[in-house]
Amino acid sequence: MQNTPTILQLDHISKSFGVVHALKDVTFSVKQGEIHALLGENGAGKSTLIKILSGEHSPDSGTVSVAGEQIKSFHPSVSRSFGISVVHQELSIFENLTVYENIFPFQKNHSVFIPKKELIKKTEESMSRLNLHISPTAKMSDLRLSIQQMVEILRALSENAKIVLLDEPTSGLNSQETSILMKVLKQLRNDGITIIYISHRISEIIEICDRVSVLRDGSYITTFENDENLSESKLVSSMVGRDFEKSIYSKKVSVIEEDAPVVFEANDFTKGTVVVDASLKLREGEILGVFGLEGSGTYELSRMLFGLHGKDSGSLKFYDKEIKKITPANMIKNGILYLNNNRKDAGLFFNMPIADNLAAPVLDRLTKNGLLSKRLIQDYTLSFVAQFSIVLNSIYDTPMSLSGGNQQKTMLSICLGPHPKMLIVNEPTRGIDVGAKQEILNFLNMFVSKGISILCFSSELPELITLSDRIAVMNTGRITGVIECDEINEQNVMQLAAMNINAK
Amino acid sequence: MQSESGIDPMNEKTNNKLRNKRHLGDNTIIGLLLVIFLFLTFTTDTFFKYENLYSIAYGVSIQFFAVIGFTFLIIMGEIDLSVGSMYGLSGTLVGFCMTVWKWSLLPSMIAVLFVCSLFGYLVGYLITKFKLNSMMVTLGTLSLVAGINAVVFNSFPAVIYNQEYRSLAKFKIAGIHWTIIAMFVIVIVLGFLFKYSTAIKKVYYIGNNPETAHLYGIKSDAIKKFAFTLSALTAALGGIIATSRITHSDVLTGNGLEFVLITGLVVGGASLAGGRGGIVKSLLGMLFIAILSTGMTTFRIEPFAQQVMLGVVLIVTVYIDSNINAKRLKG
Repeated sequence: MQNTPTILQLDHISKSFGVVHALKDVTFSVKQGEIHALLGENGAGKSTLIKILSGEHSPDSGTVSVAGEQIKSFHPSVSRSFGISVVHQELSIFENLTVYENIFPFQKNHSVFIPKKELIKKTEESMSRLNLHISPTAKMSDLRLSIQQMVEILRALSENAKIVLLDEPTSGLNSQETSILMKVLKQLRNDGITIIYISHRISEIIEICDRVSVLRDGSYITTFENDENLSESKLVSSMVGRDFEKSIYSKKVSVIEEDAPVVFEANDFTKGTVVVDASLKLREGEILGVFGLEGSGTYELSRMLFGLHGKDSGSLKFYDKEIKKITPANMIKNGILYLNNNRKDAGLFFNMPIADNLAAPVLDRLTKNGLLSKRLIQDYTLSFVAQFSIVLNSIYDTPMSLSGGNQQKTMLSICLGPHPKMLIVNEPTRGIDVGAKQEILNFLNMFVSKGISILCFSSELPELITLSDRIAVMNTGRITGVIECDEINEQNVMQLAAMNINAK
Repeated sequence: MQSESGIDPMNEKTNNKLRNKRHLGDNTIIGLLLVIFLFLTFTTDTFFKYENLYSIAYGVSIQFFAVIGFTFLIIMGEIDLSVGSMYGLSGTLVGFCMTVWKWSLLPSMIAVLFVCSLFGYLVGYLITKFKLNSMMVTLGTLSLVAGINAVVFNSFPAVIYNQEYRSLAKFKIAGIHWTIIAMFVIVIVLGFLFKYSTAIKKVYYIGNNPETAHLYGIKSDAIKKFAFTLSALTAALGGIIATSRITHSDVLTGNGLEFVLITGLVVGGASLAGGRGGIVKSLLGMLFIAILSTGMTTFRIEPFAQQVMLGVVLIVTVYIDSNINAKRLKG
C-alpha cells in the first residue's frame, strides 16, 4: 500500500467546546481504498472528528483536504459533495418507507413522478455487486437492524460516497451478521471505496483493517500498520496509555460456598413466548451472570423481575419473604435496585443537574422538615463523586456534559444511594471505554464484597466470565442451564446459548 | 470528556468550584414584563393608574386559581384542555344548587368542588391506567363538560344570582379583594414549595423523564392522578368566583381559558415537553397576557384583532420553546 495516494488529509485539527479540548492538533492521513480504523476511549475525540468530517462541526483551526482539495466551509451538504458519508450508530432511516426509497431518498429528477422502476433496478444492481439479497420493496421497519444498516451503506454509495465512515457498526449485530458486514466492507475496499471504521471491538479491527489510528484525550497518538507485529494488547495499551499485560478480562475464582443461603428466588416467569418458565436463584454475596444471544429474552426477563415489563406469571422471593407487588417503587423499598441497560432511554435525567439525578431515589433521606436540604444533597452528591471518581465540572451541570463512562458511574451511584441489598444490572459497561469498563467491573466486585448480591445481565461474554460466580444461560426464552464457576468457559456458555432447542 | 487536569473531587477548593451554579436560569419573562410595562406606561395615560393596575390584578387573581393545578400538569408534560369548560360548569352548578335546590353558598360550593375533583380524578385515572394522551382525552372532556354546562344552564331560568353568591367575589379584606390577597399568599407559599418541597420535586423528575422516574421508584401515576384532580378542583374554584363576579351564568364563561393558560405558561417559561416551569413563572406569564390584552384594548384594537395577536404570541413562544428544547438536547 506504499504507493497508494492519500485521499483524506487532516492537518493540525483542533476543536474546543468551552474549556474542553476535544481535539488537540490532530494530524493524520487516510489512503485511498483502505479500511482505516479509528480507535480511542470515549472522550478521546472520535465523535468530534466524525462530526467535523461529516460537516456538523467546523474545526477551530487546522485543515481537512479530500484528494488534495481543501474543505473551506463545513456543512453536511459540503461534506457530501466531497464524497464523505457517515453511517451513524443510531441509523438514520425512514422506517415507514421501502428499501429502495431509503437508498435514493433525495434523488434529483426533473420529472414529476418518481422513476420507481429505474430506482428498483438500480437498487438490485448495487445489491448484487455486494452479494446481498434484500427485496427493494420491503418496508424498512420489517427488516432487522443489520439489514437496515446495509441499506444505509447502500444509500451512502448511491450518493457517490468515496469515503464512508462507520460509527460502531457492529454494536447491535450478532456474530453472523458481523461477518456479513465484514465481507461487504472488504468488497467495497476492492471497489476502491475508502472506509473509516470506528469501533471498540479490537478483534474486529485486527480482522478487517489495513491501518489503525489511535486517539487519546483529543490527541493523535500513532498509526499502526496491521501486520503480524500488531496485537490486541498493543492497541489497548496505546489507547489507554498504560501497558496491559493481558486483557482486562480474566476468569473469576469463586469463593461462594455451594450451600450459601439463597437470597433472591424468581420462579416460573413467563410472558408469551418471549420468556418461558424462567427461574433463577441468587445466593448471598454472589454475582449470577445471565447470558443470552440477541432475542433470547434476557432483556425482557431482567425487566420483568423489576416490574418494568408485564408478565403472564411468575413469583419472587427475597430473603424468604414473597414480594407480592412487583413494581419499581416496591422493589426499591425491599432493597433491590435496577441499573438500566440503555442510559439514553432511562436511568438518567439528562436535563437536570447531576446532584438532582443522584437524589432521585433517596429524596426522603435528603429532606429536613419536609423540605429538600441543598446542603445534604451537595454532600451526598460529592461523596459519590469522590467514591466513584466521577470527572465533572460542577455537580449542577447536567449529565449531558459527562463522558459515557462518567454517565455510567453516575447511574451506578444513583442505584447505590438507597443502600441496596441486591442489584439487577443490565449491560453495566455498554458504550464505555476500556478504562471505565475496568473501573465498573472493580466497583461491582467491591459491592459484592460489601454483601450486595448482584444479578448481572450482559451480552458481553468475557465480561460475564470475569464477573460471575455462576452463569445462567437463556436460549429462545428459556433458561437452558446454569454453569458453575469451575465449568465456566466460552465454549460451555455458547453451547447452551446457541444450541438448537426444539420449538415445540 | 476527560482532560489531563482532571478535577480531584477530594480537594476542598475544587469542591467549592463543583458547587458553583453555572446557569442563572431562564428569566426572559421578567424582561418581557418590564418591556411591556414600561412601553404602556410611557405611551398611554391610562395604563399606569392605580385603578387600572388594580383591575388587572383582580382579573388575574380569579384566573390564577385555575393556573395552580394546570402548572403541575404542564411540568409533568401533561395537559388539561378542559380547564376552561370546568371553569364554566362549576359556576353554573353552584348557581343551580342555590337557585333550584335553595342550598346556601358553602354547601353548594363544597358539593360542586367535590364533584369536579372527582371528575378530574377519573380523567387522571383513565389517562394513567390506559396510557392515553392527555391532550386528546381532555379535548374530549372539554366538549363533554361544556355540553353538560349548557344542559344544566338551560334547565333553570336564567337569573342574576342572589346576594350571597354575588358577594363571594366582592368580599374584601382591608379594602382589597380577597382573591388578590389569596393569590399573593398562594404564590409565595407554593413558590417556596416548588423550590424546596420533596413532593413537588418529584413532579419535575416525572416531567424530565417519566421512565427514569419510574425506574427510581417515583410513583408517577399516583402523582399524575393527583394533579388532574387538583387541576379540576382549582379550575372549578376559579370558575365559581368568576361566575360570582359576573353575577350570572353564561355558557361562554371560561371559553378559551385553556388557550390563555397555555400561552401564559409557555411565555412564563414552561415547556410543553415538560420538565420546566413553576408557579411564579405561571403567574408572571398570566400577568403578561393580561397586560397585553389591556394594552391592546387601550390602543383600541378590536377584540378579533386581539385574538389574532394572542395567536401570534402563542406561536412565537412555542417556537422559542422548541428552540430551547433543541439546544438542551444538543447539550
